[in-house]
Amino acid sequence: MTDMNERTNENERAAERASEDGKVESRRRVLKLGALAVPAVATLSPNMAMATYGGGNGGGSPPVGGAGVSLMACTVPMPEFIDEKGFPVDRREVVRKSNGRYYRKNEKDKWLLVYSGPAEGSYSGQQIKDALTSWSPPPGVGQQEFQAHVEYLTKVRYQQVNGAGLTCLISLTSNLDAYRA
Amino acid sequence: MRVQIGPAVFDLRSPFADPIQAARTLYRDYPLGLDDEIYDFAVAAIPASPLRRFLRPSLVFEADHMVDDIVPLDASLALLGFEMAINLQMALGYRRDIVLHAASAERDGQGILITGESGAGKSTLSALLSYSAGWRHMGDELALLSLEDAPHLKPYPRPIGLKNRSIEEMAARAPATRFGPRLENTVKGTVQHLLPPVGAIAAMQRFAPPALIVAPHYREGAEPAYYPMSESACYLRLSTASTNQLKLGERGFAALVSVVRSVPAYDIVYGKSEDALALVDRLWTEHRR
Amino acid sequence: MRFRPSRDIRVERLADMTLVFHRLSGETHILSPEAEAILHAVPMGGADGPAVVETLSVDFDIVSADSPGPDETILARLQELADLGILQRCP
Repeated sequence: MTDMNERTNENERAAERASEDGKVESRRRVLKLGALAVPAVATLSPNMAMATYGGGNGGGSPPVGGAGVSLMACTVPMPEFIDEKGFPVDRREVVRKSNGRYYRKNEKDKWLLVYSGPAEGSYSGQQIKDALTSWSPPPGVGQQEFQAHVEYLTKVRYQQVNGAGLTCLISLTSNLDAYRA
Repeated sequence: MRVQIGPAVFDLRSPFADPIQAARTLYRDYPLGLDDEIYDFAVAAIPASPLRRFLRPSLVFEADHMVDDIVPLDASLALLGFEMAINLQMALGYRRDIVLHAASAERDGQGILITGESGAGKSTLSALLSYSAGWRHMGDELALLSLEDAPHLKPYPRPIGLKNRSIEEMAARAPATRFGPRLENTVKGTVQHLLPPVGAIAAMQRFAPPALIVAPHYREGAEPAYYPMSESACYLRLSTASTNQLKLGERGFAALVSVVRSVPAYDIVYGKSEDALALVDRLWTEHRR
Repeated sequence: MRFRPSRDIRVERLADMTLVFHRLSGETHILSPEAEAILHAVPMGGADGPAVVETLSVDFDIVSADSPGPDETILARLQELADLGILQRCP
């Protein structure tokens, strides 16, 4: 039996990352303000039936979709580039090499692979749910690329990265966790 | 016929004798002589069209709380239709407790809550706990959490809906007399109901404070492992696994926050039933109070 | 414009997330760490935007992702919290 307590805590990872990037070695806390276009609050409303529930047992009915958050309709905008840990990467740092893949340099001047976001620039909630439950990336998205996308989606969901589509992602909480467990 | 499951009384109706007879057999251990009682929800199995009453009968299910696009069911699958409709009444219409799409069980006077998406392994784990590990079955599909500062789990011990490979798995562990008829070609494949042990049905008014939350992830060939769940992950998962919590106002909010703060939660991954039971046992030994 | 925390909210801090229940709408709001810090910096007696910025810059090194400066972002966040009923405008 494996004791998985050593699994790195998401917050610790985010903190590590912040200290890698942050040049200011201050003891004061840092307040990172996200982009204005991204809301800082996600809302769960009584009008949403959050659980998608079909009555169990294959009774022949489709699951009850949420009235407020329809998985079909909700979308999650994706960054143009994401590193393998799921952090968005500024396109100005990204270089396309002759092998057709994208890279950026880290602090130690080493080239690291980065992944592009989906061609449409966003995913629908349904697309994410289908990909997570079938364990296969959406059409046109590579396995490793999708892994990075899932890392990003999880970071947004737990607010370690400011990103849009939080309410949509919250309705996908169980799917995201199941995929990463 | 009227049947009581946990805190609610259901009135099951049909112009056909067979579906009612099948339900009577499946629910034989539950409180049934309730014809003078006030019922909470009525569920009717009616012919899909007048002609269908005589030709190969096909049923639709009607009740106060239903979803759109329900496919009519072959009359041989009537039990599934009743089960689905009964669950939907609780999920969408019941307001006295928080309803979670989760399984639950009791041991040592305390409860375990088993949460997860459809197909994650809730029903199987729930059946294993009650037939192979001495737990009292409280429900495999919907768990009820009372609206209190220190909430209790309330039993809703329906017949356990086993699917596909779980049927064989449990056939070796539970007496044949506890199984309902085998229902083939459903949306989820083959389904067979396993009645909870008689004692669990008899004790369906005995509540238990939750002491552990697990989210099972069955994966073929996986080595057993467990991961602690953060408070935020636990809150979001329980809130999104609930069919009514957001409609219950401040009491629903406070009860869920209280559970998330006080009850340890884990994701567990396994590929074998023995591993699942060992994982639960280990976490339980560590966390029961 | 001055803001103060609404009396109709219940704030619960979990280990890694802050939730706000709004009694009048029945809505549950999940605050980003940024929104949480801003709400925390608004005193019960009320304060205007610049005063909140002042309080925050005593406690934090503020880093802004956007081209508008931190002041404008914080003002916009105050507005966002007020629109949700978490903050109230006051005289």
